[in-house]
Amino acid sequence: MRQLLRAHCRLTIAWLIVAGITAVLAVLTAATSVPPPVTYAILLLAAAKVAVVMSEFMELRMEPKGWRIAAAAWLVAVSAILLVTFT
Amino acid sequence: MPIPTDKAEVAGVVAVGARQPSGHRAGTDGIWVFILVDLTFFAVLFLAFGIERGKDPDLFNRTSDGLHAGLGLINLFVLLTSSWFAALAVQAYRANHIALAARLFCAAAGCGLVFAAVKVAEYRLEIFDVAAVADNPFFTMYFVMTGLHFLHVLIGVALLLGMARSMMLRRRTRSALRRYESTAIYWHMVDLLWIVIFPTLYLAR
Repeated sequence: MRQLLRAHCRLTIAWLIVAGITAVLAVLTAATSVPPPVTYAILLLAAAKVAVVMSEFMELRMEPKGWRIAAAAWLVAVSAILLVTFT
Repeated sequence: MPIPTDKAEVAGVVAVGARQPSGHRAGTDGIWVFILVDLTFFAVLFLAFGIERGKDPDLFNRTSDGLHAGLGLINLFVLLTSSWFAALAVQAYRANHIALAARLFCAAAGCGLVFAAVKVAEYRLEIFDVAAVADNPFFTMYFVMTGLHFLHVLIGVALLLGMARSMMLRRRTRSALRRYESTAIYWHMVDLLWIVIFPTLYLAR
């Protein structure tokens, strides 16, 4: 297991990044009322986490350009929908 | 070292290194089509949520305040960790550590079961007033989105456990590797959907 973790430290780093962002999210939302700028930050951080999961865990970075563009388009579209929803 | 060739596959010979050569693609076109169709379906749900919220934002904010964000956050950590296990399982299988790969898939499935248990506990806390839930459009969207996601989790757990068993019983081949990669990709999609659903329903105002 240790050997595997060493050989694929990139995955562990990705996991630490998304877990770290989630911890930031927890701190940002500790207050009972979440002001609009914090909401935007929360949604953008979620989009960043999705990008990391797609690239590192799903190995989308190794897929043909078409799939990468389609996934990026989905992420941009959903982020736009949510940002407009909470504006 | 190269991934198994078709000849090696026929002979049942395993000849892989710890890393895939550059140019290797995880999963199949089929799984990516499925993933994008599923993600598009959820994008439509997010749009529907936005439209419904636009009709009465105060009601949506008030109702969202009553959700148990702490439980949702725990589930976010659980699924992220589960996704990490699944990604490591694929790498372990590629490196010919079959037993370790199977254990990691089981660990990912275990996290999925923890997610399901926490979610059921949360549902029980939320459905204390059936009438209030039934008349509230926020809860309609909440149960549709989290319910469909919950279904995806259950399917994912079954797939992960089935694939872990298959790893232990079947010979190691290129097509088997594709199946395990596709299962992991599906599980990562379940994870990323919760990454978006959680802040949308629980946190954003």
